[in-house]
Amino acid sequence: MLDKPQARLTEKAGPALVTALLAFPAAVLTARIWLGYLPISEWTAAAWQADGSALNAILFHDVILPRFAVSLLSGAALALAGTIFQQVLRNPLAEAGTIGVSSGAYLVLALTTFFAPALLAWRAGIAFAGSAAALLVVLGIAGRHRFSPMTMILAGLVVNLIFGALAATIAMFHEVGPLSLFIWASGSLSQNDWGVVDSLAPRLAVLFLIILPFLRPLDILARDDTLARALGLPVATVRALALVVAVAMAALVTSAVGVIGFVGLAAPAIARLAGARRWPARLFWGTVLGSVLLWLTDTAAQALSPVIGSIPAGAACALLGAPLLLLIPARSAGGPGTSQAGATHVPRIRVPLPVVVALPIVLGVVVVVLLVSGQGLHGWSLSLGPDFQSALTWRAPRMAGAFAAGALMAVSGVLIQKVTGNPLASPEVLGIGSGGMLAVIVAMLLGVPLDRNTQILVAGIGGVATLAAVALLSRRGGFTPERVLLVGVAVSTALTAVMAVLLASGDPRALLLLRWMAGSTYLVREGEAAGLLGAAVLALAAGCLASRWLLVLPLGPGAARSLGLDAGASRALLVVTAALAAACATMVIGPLSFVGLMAPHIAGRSGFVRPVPHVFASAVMGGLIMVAADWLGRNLVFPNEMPAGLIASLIGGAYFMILMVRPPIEGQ
Amino acid sequence: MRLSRRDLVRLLGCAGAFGILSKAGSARAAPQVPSCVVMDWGLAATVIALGIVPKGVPAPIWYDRCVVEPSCPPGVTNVGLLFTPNFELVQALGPDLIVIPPGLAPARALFERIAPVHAVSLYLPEADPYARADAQTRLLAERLACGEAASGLAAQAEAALREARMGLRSYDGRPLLLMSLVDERHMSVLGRQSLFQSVIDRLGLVNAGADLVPRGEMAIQGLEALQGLGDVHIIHIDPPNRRDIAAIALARPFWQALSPIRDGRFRRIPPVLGTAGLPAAIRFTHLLAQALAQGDRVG
Repeated sequence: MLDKPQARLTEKAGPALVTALLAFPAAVLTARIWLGYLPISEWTAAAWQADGSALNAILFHDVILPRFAVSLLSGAALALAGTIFQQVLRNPLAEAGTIGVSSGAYLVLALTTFFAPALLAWRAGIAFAGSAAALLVVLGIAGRHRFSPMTMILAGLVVNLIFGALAATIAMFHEVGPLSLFIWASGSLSQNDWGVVDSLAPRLAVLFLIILPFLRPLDILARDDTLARALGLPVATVRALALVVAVAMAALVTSAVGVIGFVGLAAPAIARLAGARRWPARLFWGTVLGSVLLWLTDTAAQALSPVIGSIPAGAACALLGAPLLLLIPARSAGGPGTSQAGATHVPRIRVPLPVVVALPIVLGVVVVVLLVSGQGLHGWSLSLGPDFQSALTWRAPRMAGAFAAGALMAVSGVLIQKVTGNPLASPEVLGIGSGGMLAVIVAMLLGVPLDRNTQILVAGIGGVATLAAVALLSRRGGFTPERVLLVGVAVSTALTAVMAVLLASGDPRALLLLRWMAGSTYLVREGEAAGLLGAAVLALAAGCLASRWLLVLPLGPGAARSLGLDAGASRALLVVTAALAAACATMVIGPLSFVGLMAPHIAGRSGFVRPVPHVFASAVMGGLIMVAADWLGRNLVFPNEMPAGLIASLIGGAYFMILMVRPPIEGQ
Repeated sequence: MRLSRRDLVRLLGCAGAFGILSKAGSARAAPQVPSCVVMDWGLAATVIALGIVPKGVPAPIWYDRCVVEPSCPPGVTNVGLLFTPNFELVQALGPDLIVIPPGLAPARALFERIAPVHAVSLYLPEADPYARADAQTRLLAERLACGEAASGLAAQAEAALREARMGLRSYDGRPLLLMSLVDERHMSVLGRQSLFQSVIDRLGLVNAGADLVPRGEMAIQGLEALQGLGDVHIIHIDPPNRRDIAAIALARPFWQALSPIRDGRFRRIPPVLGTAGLPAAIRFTHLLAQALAQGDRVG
């Protein structure tokens, strides 16, 4: 088919048409911006040599033109890198952002900014090291699952979340806010001379020359390893080399310009949709489209900036690109790590009676010890005797709130895992918390007065809306793990982008939000703790009432129907319950704690597999994890409070990674 | 009545700010001055300028980096990070009054368990932050039982402004671009609703960057924003976390080619915290007058 002349013509005409359609408005906007500085007649003269005296001529030569060149160059490089990633990893969703390359660079730069600002002179090298490290982690995880596309995206998501949490922690202790780091993270293309172009262009050219001879083999390699081997290709070498070159390209751009999301994803996708099917066409048009896309985004953001304030190009791209993620069909079914596993091999345990009696006592003692121990004005102490009242006043509400929030998150996690039949789904990974937080930020920007209760309500709406998006997208194929995870990636990407814009704008509210997103157990009062405990009890009750649904739903829609269960309605009810539970918890421990994933999993592994015991054990486990995180937050860096949600997300993220690195034992 | 050392310091400072050391004044103020914990740097600067040593301030190290003047007296306890207060520690300090900024409103009820709370919006993005700072400082001083000290501080600020106006009589009246470089490619420009604007208004100077800031105290801008700026005098306020950024950026050809810099109309002044009310206004007035009084050379 493709070899017919007609098909070839479409392959050229389609992408060319799309390119022209995107380039036209970009060119008009660019001309408008340029005319604001100099009349057309002076453009060429100013391009070669800035007139030493006129401000506008200097700006034109040293700021406006380099910005234009940087947008074209970075867009092309990121799109080329994205196309190569997608080809080598056989994954249409791979790009610098989704596989953790950008967040690796972000974390390392944040560390450098805080601990060794003098080293920032070698920003490019440092960012590259961070990118490479992040990619190694992601590949290490994905390698255990034969590089299945979904595992890779999931691993990238988790790496992004953990590295993001670490970078947020660092930023939080930098009291005035590391503004330059925030601006870098939002991908601003502003320039002050040709320096970036001068350093970027030759390096990218060298990388391109290195990869050039391997572009053809990559075509064969993507089709079939055996064929490639038969043709005498060193498969592993070619793959590794292509990956290194692509990471280097993305890291070069990221370090020089900042985090620019989704160009590497959107450009190849648009090229494909426009009709570029064969590898050379995808490669060429993908790169060209990347250039044009970033150029258009940047000029459009510049044109809009008097109206809506300045939005850096990188964040703008991520915001535009996040919904696009949902439209790209994930080519292959999930790998072993992500697909639904049915019954696990974990044996149900019979707990001996003494243990049943002893366990709550032991747990109670632990909680009391955590309650009375801690640092104060005069170092470590146990608040016994007269101090006990004070410990009770200050610590009991926050511990109760943390416990309830952890339990809510855990119950939400169990419900979602049973509904989706996906053991790696959780409110965090699905983006319920992020969706809630996003709704709260939007409400705040719109000027809605937000007290704690309205916050929970708005967050609940956001969480339900996120789940509704999941449901809508899953209508065709049921709750496939792939779809479900993509919504999570898209929502958390959007949240990151919005936060990046806010932080880079220097808005003081952004720093407040940053702290708040990390969880704020220290603000919990008795009333709120009681409310949360009540909500947790309700969630547990809902879990018990729905125990039959929870038993049947994981067996699949067919089994459910034959057992007389209305799968659609029961799912919808459970999903709304889960979203509300997660929204309540999010307000106290932030959207990214990973408790909703960790607790049900630990409970399941411990032998609590029947629905009701599973729900209860998960709730207790989730609560205890949060109580421990709260205690750590209170004491680790005394007198500074480290948000419990942040600590939980570091613990939970590590747990998640270990989980994914271990060979899959469930199901198959 | 027992007079502790701390009471004495407070008392001396209070009276000193007013400029009188009368026996009657000290006898009246002594039992009433409450001990306080101040949960914001701008408020802490004001309280210290009123002659009171707070018992606790969040992250005093950063206070000294950002506010610089008046410096944080020794012995002030670190009560945690801004906006994430350590309530137990605040309680252990046993203050009579807790002063909080609007950002800590969600925590107000918790602070009220420890001691009475006084919430102050020393700075809000509005037309005349100087007038607000003045009014809020008086309210705060009343609450701290040193109302005279507030009048003293206000008088000090007026005096600084008067002195600066005298010194600026020879200034050519060029508009000022008030900004801080964030990195080599971005600057934060101070706008109409900043404390700095209300200070230069009182000095009869013009803010050239006012239109670059749509709302709020400041806006982050790329260098493109310098377009059409014309004949200005650039005042660069060193950011507290990268005080050398101007020196690094200025070495670049782009900046060297700009006419204000080529002609020596670029001045650097050390950090000033724009939300720190009258102390910041006084500090900025002094620094600005000094900077503009220098001859035509790059500072």
